[in-house]
Amino acid sequence: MAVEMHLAEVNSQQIGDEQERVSPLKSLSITFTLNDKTVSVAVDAKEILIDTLRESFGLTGTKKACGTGDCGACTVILDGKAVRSCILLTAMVAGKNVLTIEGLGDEEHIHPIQQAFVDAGAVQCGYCTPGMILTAKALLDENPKPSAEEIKEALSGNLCRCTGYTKIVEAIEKAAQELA
Amino acid sequence: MVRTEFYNPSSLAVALELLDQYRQQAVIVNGGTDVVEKIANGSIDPAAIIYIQGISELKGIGESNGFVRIGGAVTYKEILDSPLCSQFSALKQAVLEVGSPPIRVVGTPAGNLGTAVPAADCNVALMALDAVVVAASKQGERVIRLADLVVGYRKTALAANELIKEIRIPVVPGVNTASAFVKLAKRKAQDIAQVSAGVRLTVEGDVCRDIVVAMGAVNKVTVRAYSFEKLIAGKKVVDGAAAIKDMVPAEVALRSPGNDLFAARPGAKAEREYKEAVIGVVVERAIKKAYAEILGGRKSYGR
Repeated sequence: MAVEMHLAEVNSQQIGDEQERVSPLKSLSITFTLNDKTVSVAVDAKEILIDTLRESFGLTGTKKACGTGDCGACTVILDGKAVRSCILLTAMVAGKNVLTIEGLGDEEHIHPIQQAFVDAGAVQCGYCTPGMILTAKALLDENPKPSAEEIKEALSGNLCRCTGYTKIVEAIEKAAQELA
Repeated sequence: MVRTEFYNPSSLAVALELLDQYRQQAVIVNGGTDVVEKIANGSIDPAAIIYIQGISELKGIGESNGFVRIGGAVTYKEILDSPLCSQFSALKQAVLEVGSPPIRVVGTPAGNLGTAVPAADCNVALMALDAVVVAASKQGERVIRLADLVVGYRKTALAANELIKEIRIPVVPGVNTASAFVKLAKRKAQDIAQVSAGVRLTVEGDVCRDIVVAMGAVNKVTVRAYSFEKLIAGKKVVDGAAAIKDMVPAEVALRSPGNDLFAARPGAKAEREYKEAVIGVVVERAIKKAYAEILGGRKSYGR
């Protein structure tokens, strides 16, 4: 039944009709769970998740850098897995669960992984840090006692141009001990 | 700026109906790791985005009639986690070379085939494993060999109203067959292949009874190196591997006129000469890797 209704909707569309094509953008209403709260937001079909997070929700902890999914600065956790918010359309996360760095912890409720990054001195300029921490969170949720090699593999898509990675790996090892 | 419709169909029938209506005006988003970037930067501006990850018929990995069937919306991560796919070492080794873990969570092999980039790791492994795809449209289904699927740089034989419903990999039982994938790249992680090779090897004693060799990043399309296969089959595996080590198979097209992928680009000559110098070695390594798995398997079974 749902299929038939959807088909009927599709068939009723005037493909190529100028009236249809120039109608306002942000016509899609997307509902998903963001940092444990159900949210709805109006988006354009071509809007990417990082832009929605930063511009519609003011969650600027998620950083935009390469825009091609290569650097990891825009990492968020989607249904428990670290993903790239710069190559996901916002419409793709409808009904799903998104966690950003703001949802992990703040100054008053600092998460053990965040604390471990502070303690290990794993932060320099800080631009890659939210992505690193969320990648670490997804890793430790799946594998609570990762080896240094497993940590490096998990971070292989997160670029840091300051630290040389050593202290980031140390921080995640510390966090794993703390969370054990 | 045109308005783009976003569709999230929950059944294959609806997706195919949409594709049939929009044709070239539609873009299929599977994992989106390649195409979303193009949508976001405006290099493509489709009238319709058809997101297919919500279609349960395209999910799941199963086995029937001698094939492992991988749904068109199955992700790389799901392949890595699949016990059925673990028999295909070349596939697993290639998947581990694709991007980074967050890319593999959303990216899909069917999407990679549809994108048809000649350096794509998984496509090379799938060709070595003699895989085929099932293309579906409103009019029906057809089976396409990988060699016939990719027809040019980022060009496939898929019609505008077709999508990849399934990838089928033939199961080759027995301890005398193994596969392997080897990639040569500048960096350890997140790099595009300079040259890659996938091999499926079947032996009888120490002799190569059957071999499939596929190569990436050496032509506009993923190539099946039949000329190498002929040179190796029937020889002792070590002799066959040694025979092709310094050769460039006829299927490689780094010098063809009109090959815009490699010609007339700064550094193209060095890249071409480098590729030609390493092509045989990469294939040799893949053969040795597959053979080592066969020998290792025999040992573990006490043979």
